[in-house]
Amino acid sequence: MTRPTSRRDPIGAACRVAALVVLFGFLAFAAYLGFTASQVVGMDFLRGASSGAADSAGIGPALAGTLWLLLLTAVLALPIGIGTAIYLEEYAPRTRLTAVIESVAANLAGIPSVIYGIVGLALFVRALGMGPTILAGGCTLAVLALPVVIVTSRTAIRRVPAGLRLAAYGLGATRWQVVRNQILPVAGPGILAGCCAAFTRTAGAAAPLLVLGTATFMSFAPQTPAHPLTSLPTQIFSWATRSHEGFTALAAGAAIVLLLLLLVMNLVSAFVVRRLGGASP
Amino acid sequence: MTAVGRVRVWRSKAVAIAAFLMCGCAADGRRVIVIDGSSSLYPLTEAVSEAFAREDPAARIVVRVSGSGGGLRRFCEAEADIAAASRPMTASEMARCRAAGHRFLALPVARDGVAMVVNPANEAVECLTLAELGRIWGPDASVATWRDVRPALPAEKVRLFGPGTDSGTFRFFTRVVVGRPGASRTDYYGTEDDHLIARGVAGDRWSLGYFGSANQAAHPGRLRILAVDTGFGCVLPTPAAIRDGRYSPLSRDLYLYVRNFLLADEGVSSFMEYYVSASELLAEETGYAPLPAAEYARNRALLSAARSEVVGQSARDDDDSRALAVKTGRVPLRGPS
Repeated sequence: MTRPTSRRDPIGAACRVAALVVLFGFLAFAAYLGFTASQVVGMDFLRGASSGAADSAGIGPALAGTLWLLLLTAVLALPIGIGTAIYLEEYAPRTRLTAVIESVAANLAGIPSVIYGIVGLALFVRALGMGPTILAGGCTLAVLALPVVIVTSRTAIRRVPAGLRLAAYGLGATRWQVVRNQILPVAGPGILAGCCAAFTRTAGAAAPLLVLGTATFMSFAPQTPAHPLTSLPTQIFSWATRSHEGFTALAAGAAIVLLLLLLVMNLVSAFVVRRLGGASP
Repeated sequence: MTAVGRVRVWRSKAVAIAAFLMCGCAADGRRVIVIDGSSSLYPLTEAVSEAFAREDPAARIVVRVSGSGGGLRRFCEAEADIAAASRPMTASEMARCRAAGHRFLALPVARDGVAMVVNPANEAVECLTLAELGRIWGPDASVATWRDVRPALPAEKVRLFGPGTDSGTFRFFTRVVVGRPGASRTDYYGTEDDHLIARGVAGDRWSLGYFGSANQAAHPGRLRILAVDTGFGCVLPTPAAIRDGRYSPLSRDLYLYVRNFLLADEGVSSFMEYYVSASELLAEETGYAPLPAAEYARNRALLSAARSEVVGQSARDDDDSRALAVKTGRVPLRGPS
């Protein structure tokens, strides 16, 4: 690959500068966070409960809360989202109803996450009587993730070459056989990549959870979805509003842990996608 | 295996997983104690909860901050076990709570002041009188700049930050300064989160804000506390001035509310007893003024009387309505007394 030079290719050179700005900006950001966080992150920080004293505070409950929320989101959003995508692409006749479902899903993906919090408060916390629990948080985040899962899964399914589909039908395969043996193996990596993007969006969401009502102090890590709602992003928010320097470092430490968590998730999914034979997300 | 059999196995697996998730096999059955309410009482509640959890690591305590009004509402809807409030319940709140079938105790645990805070860069103001505060915060306030407050002050726009309408501090402050609880100008930035008020004031040179005095300790160097002239000269809301009454019209008692029947639970009752005893020691340390020792003795007596009543009651009286009441968290008003 040749480097664009400013004389022969000014646009290419400008794009290269833009890429460098992004790279160094990100490195500076990560270095700042890492330096601030290095003062606090340790085993006690990962296990300890939140505290009014900055030097003994930890993210134990918040980390457990975020892991629970990710699990619930996956359990709820993946089957419904991927199922909807398969139905819309492979089964549904082109009627007005499916057109409406399609446009609703596409538009929901663009709605700010705080709106989902208000819906979750009215529906899960109040109407269904879940209270501000991990379960209500997981349901809300699942609804938040759903449109993204549907839209990206549909795109992946649509990219499967029509020839595969037609050949399978020509050999007498049923619809489900086509989906299971032809569509999913080819579209799988793309679907996985899309789901990963959706999870990254939900794992970092603080606004919808703050609307549901999160714990400011929690002495224990949630052990069931019926326990009160807490999460890393809301804990970061709570610490970041205090002026005391110690809490700024705590917020940075929690942010680094959240970033690492998402990074590991993305690496695992990239690895799986590669094993399945698709392009890395 | 037939298709139906496979579905059955799947269904029973799903039920087992759901049951595991919902009741939690790891849980040892101890009640989660939920405290909700005032941000003014939060530093003390946090300190007490932490100390309690250190002594009893199996305890499960959750503290939420949604303002005194929000906390009392959730308390009366049995969504919170203990309410923290920076004002006593109003008559209508009490009627609604009783109508829902609750009996409860109100225990004063500490005293604080409403601190008036400005940006440290604002060196022009040292002290405000109650009358000036009324002119700044009243519902038909005409004050736009500091010069409108006092002619000697600079003609800079006063940006106001204060508690939202669910806050007990808001109701208390408006009652003292304006004369009617809840009567306030509305063109200010209002939030139930005191730290956001502090951040707002710290970010604007000519701002003015107010919140419970204990919370200013979380913002060292970012805020300057103003003295208030309450008629005895300019007084700062120090624990000493709050205790001896010199800050008096702007100092108030902070309360915990607990539903009587929850005291039958060992965890709740030991936490309440711990809170009352520990607040006597921790109040000063966390920026409050402790109450006279007699108040804490009275709280302890109230707690143990209420506890022995509900424990005796639930042992004697276990008919169906009683069991139902306990299950739904509501205790009928009748019963031996």
